Amino acid sequence: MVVVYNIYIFDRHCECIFYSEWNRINSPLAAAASVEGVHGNKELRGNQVLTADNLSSPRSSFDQQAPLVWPTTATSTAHRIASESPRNVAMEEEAKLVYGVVFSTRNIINKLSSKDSPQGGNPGGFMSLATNTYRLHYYEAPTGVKFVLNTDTATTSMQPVLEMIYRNIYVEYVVKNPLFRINPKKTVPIENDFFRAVLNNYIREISSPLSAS
Amino acid sequence: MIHSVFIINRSGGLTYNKNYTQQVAQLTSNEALIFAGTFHGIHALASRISPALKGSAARDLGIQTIDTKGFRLHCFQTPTGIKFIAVADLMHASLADVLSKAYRLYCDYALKNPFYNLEMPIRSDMFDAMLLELVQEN
Repeated sequence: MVVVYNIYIFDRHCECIFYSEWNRINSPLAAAASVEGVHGNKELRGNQVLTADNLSSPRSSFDQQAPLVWPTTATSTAHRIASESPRNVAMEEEAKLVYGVVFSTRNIINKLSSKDSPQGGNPGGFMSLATNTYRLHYYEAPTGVKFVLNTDTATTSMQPVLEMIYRNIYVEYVVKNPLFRINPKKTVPIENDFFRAVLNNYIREISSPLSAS
Repeated sequence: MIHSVFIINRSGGLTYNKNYTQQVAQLTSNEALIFAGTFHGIHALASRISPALKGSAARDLGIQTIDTKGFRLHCFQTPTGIKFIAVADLMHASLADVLSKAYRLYCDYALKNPFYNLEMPIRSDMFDAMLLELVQEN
């Protein structure tokens, strides 16, 4: 059984465009949600409606809970414009640290495997990094979009899972969305409810005790 | 098979660096120093970004292994903060025991040398020879 803690998606401008978490203990989002109160609740309910359609039977109480996500929501867009973006500083700082770790690791791996190229990318094939509390899995798409997934230490390879998330979820629901802008001047976070719901279901599926892996 | 060994002191400086095979890049001395400093940094950051646990509940929260397509990098940190790093092939799941043996060699042949300055590069033929023997056993 795979325990998935959280996922980060970074665009090629090094900015975090999506974050979601499942079984996390110390969350920068949970703290913000309790402060925001009403807003946070609305978001949770919205997500539940979406996932309920796809889940044929309620399997466990675990499934009932929608994950915490960042950026907060599509519904919050209006709210954001009105009050000059409620930023979650703890979350943003953490995303920067995570980016720093994967970026530097990828670079030293490229150096060590003598496949360093000025174009960047991941020719050295950096796959995962383990500490004794979690394992960080890394996948870089050819376009430079980076996926970072944290799981428990026992899970050794999540490369197929990350590739699947990129190919069948990110490309399908984010890139093929007609409103998606290929090269925006400013980083645009993913505020797509379908993407969230499908990703959430997929993660729930692989981390269910009944799944094969 | 172990491709190379690095020893990093507790302030992130490189004190020892040896290649045993040609299968990984031969880093220049400048690149090796950059590697040591970068690894020291990400080792510290990796414990900060843990989604599972924070604080003093678990000792040694830094990086233990890094997996890539071609090799696996193992790190062993001693209680005094010295990092022993081995770049090996994908056959070894853990090299913690080998690296702790390397730590023992470091204690015997580097630290007990009266002419050795702490935190400085290790230049000892005895240490080289013993480490080579240890690497060849694995």
